[in-house]
Amino acid sequence: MESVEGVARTLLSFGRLSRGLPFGRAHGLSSRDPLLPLAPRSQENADPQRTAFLLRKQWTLYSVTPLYRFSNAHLRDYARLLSAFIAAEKQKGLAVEVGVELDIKVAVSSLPYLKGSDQDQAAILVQLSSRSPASPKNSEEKLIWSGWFCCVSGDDISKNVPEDFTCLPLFLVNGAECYTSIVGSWFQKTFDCSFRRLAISPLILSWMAAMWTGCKVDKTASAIELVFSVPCLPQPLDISYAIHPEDAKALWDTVQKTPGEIIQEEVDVFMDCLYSHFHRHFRIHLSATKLVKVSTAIASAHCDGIIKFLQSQYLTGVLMLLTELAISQIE
Amino acid sequence: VRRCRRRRRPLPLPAPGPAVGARLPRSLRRRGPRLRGNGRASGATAAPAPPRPAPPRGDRPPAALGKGGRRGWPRPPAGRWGARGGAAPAGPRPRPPFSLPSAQLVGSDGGLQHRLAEAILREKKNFKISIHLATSLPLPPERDHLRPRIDLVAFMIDIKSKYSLKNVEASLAYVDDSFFLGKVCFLVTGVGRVNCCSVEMNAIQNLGEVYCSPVLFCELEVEGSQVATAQRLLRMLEICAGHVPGVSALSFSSLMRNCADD
Repeated sequence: MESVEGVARTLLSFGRLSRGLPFGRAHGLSSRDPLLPLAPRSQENADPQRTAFLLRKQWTLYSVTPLYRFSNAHLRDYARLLSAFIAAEKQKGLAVEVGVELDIKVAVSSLPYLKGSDQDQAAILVQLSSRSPASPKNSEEKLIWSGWFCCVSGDDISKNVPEDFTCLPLFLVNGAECYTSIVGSWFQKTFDCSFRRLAISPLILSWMAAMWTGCKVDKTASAIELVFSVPCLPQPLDISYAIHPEDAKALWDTVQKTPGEIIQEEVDVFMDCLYSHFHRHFRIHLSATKLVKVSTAIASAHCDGIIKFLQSQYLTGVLMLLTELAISQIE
Repeated sequence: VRRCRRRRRPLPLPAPGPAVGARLPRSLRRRGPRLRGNGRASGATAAPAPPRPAPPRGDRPPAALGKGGRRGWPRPPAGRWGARGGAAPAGPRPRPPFSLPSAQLVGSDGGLQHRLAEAILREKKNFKISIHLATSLPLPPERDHLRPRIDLVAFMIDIKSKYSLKNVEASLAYVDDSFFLGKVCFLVTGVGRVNCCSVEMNAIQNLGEVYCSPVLFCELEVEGSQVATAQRLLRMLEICAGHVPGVSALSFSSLMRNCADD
C-alpha cells in the first residue's frame, strides 16, 4: 500500500505526465517471485560485428523440443543432407518458388558466442542461399532464408534431459514460409523434435515493455510504442500509443524499487500509470483492450511471436527471456 | 392472527403476502443488511411486486400498519451502502416471505453476462429464480425500495481484460461483510485462450483468498462450459437461498475452497 502511495506522490511532481492520482485503489498483494528472469543486462564483451546480421530483421519464433542425437561435429553432413532433402522436395513438385529454377545451397554453422552460461549449447545457424543458374559462376549468392536455434540460460530444461538429447528450445526464422516448413520437417524427421509457434501473451508483452524501458541506451533512443487492438468492434481498430523514451524511463525509475529485480506489482503500476494517462486524455480504457505489439529501443515484439532485435549489447538478455518463454511452452 | 410455522421444506411458488398484522417469528427474520439489487431484472420471471413484509417484533411497536406496512419500516444504516447520505434508524430488514432466490451478476462485459444469465434460466429447476445484472457497484439508489434480497453475488472477471479485474476490485468495496460468508463467488472466464491473457493468475487467486470466496474458472464462449457453469451457479444459488436442507452457504463455500486447495 505505501509503495503505491509513494509512487503517486512522486508522479504528482512530474511535469510532463498528467497530475492526479492515476489509480484509485491500492493493489495490495505483492507477489515476490518474479515471473520472468532479470532485465537484460548490457553485454560489454559482445562483439557487435558478429551479431550485426541478427539485428533489424524480423524473426518469427518457434519453440523446439530437445533434439535427439544432434552433434556439433557433424554440421557439414547435416548441411549436405538438408540440401539433398530440399532438392528432393523440389523434384517432387512441391512449389518452392514459382517460376525461376534456383540452385539452393545450405550452410549450417555454429555461433558459440550466443550463449548465457557455459552449460548452454552453442547456437546453430542454418542459412539457405541461392544462385540463379543464369548468372555467372562466381557471382554472389543471395541469402534467401535463415534460421537459428539457440539456448540462452536454459538450465531448467538442460538439467532434466537424458544424455542423448540436445536442448535448443528457441528457433528464430527469417524468410519465406515454404522454406521454413521444409527445413522444419527435415529437422523433425532427423532428430525427432517438434516445432510449435511461440505466441507472446499481453501479460508477457507488458513485462517486456517495462523491462526494456529501464535499459540504458547510448544513442538517442526511439520512442516506446505500444499497439493495442480493440476487440468486439465491427471494424478492427488499432490504437498506437507512443511515449517519449526519457519520460518512460523516468516513470519506470520511480516505480522500480530494487535495481536488477522486477516484480509483477511494479509492472502493473507502470502499465496502470500509462493507461490512466491515456484515459485522462482520450477517455478510453486501454486496460480493456489487448496489447499486441511493444516497440522499444532495445527490441520490438509482436504477440504473434515476431521479434526484432535493435541493440547488440542487449541481445543476450532478450534471448534469455525468449528462451524462458520457449521452455515454458514446451513443458 | 395466523402463525407462521418454521419452514422446513423448499419454498412453494409465490403466494400472496401474509395478512396485515401477522408477525414473522424471530427464527424467520434474517439479520444483516443486504446488497441492493439492480438496474435490470432479467429472465423469464421478474421479481414480484414489492412485497409487503411484516414489521419486526422489537422494542418499537409497529407503526402505521393499517395502510400497507411499509411506512415506519426501519431503513438500513446509511454507511453500509456508501451511496446514501443521512442518518437512518438502525435495524435489519427481514426477508420478505416468499421472495424468489435472486442472484446478482457483476461484470464489465454486458453481453457475456446476458448469455450466462440466459443459460442459467434455461436450466431445469423446480423453483423460480431471478437474476440481476450490473456492470459495477454501487447500484443506483433510485430503485432501492424495489429490490429483493440477493442470495448470491457472482463477480465476473474476463482474463483477457485487465479492466474487468479492476472493475471487480472497485465494486468489492460496496458489498457488505456478511455476504462474504459464502454468498460471493468469483467467476473467471476466457481461460481457454492462454495466449490472450492479460491478467495474472496470482492476482485472481489472491483475490479469492483475501475475500474467502471460491473462484470458478470457465470459458463462456464455449457452449459446453457455459452450460456447466450455469449448472454450478444454479446449484450455488439454491444453497445460498437455503433451499437445500442441511447445507448452508458458509459450509458449502468452505468445502469448495478446501477442494480447490487440494
